[in-house]
Amino acid sequence: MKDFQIPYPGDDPVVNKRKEWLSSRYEPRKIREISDEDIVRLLGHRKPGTAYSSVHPPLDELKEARDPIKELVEPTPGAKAGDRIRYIQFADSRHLAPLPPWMRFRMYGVKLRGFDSLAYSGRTLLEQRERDLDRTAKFLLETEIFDPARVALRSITVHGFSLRLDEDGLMFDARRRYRLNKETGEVEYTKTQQSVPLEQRISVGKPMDEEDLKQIATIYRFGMVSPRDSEELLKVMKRVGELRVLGGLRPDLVDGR
Amino acid sequence: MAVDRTKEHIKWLEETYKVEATDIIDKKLYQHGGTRQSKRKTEYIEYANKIAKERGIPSYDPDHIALELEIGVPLGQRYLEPVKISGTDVFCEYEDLHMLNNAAIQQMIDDIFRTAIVCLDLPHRVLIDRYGFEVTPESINRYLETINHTMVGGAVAQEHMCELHPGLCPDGYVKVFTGDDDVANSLDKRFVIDINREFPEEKAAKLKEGVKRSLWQVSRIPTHALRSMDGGMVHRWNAMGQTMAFISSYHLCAGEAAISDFAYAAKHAQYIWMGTPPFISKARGHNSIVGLPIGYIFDIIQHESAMPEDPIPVSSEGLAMESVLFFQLYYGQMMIGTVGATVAPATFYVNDLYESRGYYLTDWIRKKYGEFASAPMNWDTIHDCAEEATMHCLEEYDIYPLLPEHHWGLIHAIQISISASACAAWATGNSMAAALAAHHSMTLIQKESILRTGWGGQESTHHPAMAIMTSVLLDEGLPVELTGLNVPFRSPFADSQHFTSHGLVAAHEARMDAWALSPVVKVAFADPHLVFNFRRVKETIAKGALREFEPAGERDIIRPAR
Repeated sequence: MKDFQIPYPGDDPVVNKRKEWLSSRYEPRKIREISDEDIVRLLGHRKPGTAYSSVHPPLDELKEARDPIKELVEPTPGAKAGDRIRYIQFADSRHLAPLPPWMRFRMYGVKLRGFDSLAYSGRTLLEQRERDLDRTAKFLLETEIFDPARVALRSITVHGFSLRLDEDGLMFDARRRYRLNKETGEVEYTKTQQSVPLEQRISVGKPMDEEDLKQIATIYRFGMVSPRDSEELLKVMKRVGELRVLGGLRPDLVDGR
Repeated sequence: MAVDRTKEHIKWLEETYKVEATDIIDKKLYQHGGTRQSKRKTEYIEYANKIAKERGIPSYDPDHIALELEIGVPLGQRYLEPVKISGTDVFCEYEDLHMLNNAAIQQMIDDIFRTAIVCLDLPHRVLIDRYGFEVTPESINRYLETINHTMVGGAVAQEHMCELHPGLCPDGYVKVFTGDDDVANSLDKRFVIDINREFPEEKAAKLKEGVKRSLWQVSRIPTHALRSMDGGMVHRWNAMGQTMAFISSYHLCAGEAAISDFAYAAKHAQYIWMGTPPFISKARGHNSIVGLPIGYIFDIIQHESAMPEDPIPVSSEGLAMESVLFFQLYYGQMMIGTVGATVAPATFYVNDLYESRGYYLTDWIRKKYGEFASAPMNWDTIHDCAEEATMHCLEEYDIYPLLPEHHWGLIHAIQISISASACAAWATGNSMAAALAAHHSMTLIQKESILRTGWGGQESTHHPAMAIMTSVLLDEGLPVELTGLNVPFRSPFADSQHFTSHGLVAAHEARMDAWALSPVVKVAFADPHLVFNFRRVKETIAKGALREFEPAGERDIIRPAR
């Protein structure tokens, strides 16, 4: 795939950080190591070491009608193998999670292939063929996208993004899937994303420092970079809003604007 | 923005949570006492245990399900905060505001949709021109006595009829009103909604001008009947009671040729529904929330205006009613059901938050534009209002972490859009400006500032909204006063409807209008005999929360004494 940059208006620390995530060239910092087996355990879709379930024979074995799109798009490994589609879902705290839902959603569009996603107010669902998802989950959990305190794996009972933090600075989780190990300073999952108890605790690393979170923040926030100061962005949004109304009512009203 | 604990809503948050609103850490998280921190949930558990024992089938049992069977979420991990109903000193739990737990909320809905309004001019014209009868104050009074008998299931034409127990329908009755003082004064006062008495002089004059010399009849179909059937029968029920009363009091012949003209004139020709039938997947009859034109909201609420100084009291009453109708009833129960949506809509009428934010915005409007409803209706005004309201709210959510906890999930997004809507409405007095400001806030300013909006897919209704809402075509925008949940892009979610409706109420209040869509509906709901008090929406809901509201439609009289 060719390198590309999705355009975004403005020039301030927040916008510039967003632009990084909207560039195919940006490589997120890897800050922890989680074994492949532990990733599979956290996802909770199958046991480590077991085969992938498939919903159709490998594409190579399928006889399908000619479809020009198939000639243009290279199938992902999971699609080639006929894997079932599985999910991973993250809740991102409003208290400085690195990528809030819409940024996460847009980043998926830049970084991933063969996926479906949905951004809610506090969480973002991602679905892929299972072997593709394993690889994606590793990327998402080992890099700066994931802060163990302000980001969480949750397939159900997802609320908590807007609540205050617990006494260890962790985002609220009514299912208590994770806790801070005070001896190691690392956050450990004791349940899968579906909240099924794990046989062993899985460490996902230390919470990021508050200052680091501020440095990589992609949101405007009073006390940091105020949204009132995002002049160019606000100007573009006004234009988008106006054109949307005028174009919907009478497309000729858009001419020359 | 500096921390300001004197702000009403911040003060109430701190009092109800018993912590500082600026704290980002909840030191007692996971230790708030589970379900037992809630008096209501404790009551539910005990009651459900009794039911389960009596019937032998398990019932509501959250602790057993979550803690023993380890299924689902253990409730009460966070603090379940009490709330103060805005404008009152009543504190309650959100549980008390679930519409099925609150008799006042149910009665609000019932009182709106059990209302049948019909103009008597045409039937009177038929009586005079076709039959050659005289219609006089005396004949009208006789008719009104008769219809107050037939409307609650009394027979007048045939003997082999079973009649209704009056104890089941004390809330069923009929009244009339007119814009002609002479006619109104000539009628039996017991049956008249007196415009001069129910409205301030200036508004009464405007309403009388709107109603003109016509004589309108308002029938209140018994709540018991509405709840046993649905809104679709209200028109029929009124038609039957009315025709029987006319036939009997004017000694008409049942079956003569003229009666078909008369029946059409009396029952259908000038009849006002409170709502058109819903779209097919919500299929019900007329008089359903889905078909309620939002202009009626301003007409139904009767709170005293504080304009030209202050548009907030009436706007706030409208907001409480809209939250109940569109969010709790339609979205929460008709679309979702069971737990539905209670907390989200209730946040709009608790802890004086709307009012507190509103006073910041009205001050801003005065400084920027001078008087209310005086700002030019142009893009600059819409954008400036949307931006100021959105930024002010976003700033509060950043400074007081207790606030986003109180407004979990999507609520903050709708709260912000409601503020944007109100701000543009008060500034311009234009309901379209209000709706555009709200959509602009949600889809563009909020989304690009904090990269969040609402529940999955929800945002999708706001993007097309901007592109089609200025159309007046039936399936697209419609004039704002006529729009409602039957317009396709407004039906999937409640919030788009919610803040469009709110902008309408706020705009008409800013313009000091006597009514928004219908002077007839405005007067019909000024009736002091209604069970729900439309002059005091929030106060009446608070009564319901305290279990002090006496609803209609009870069946006590026909069930065994306990």
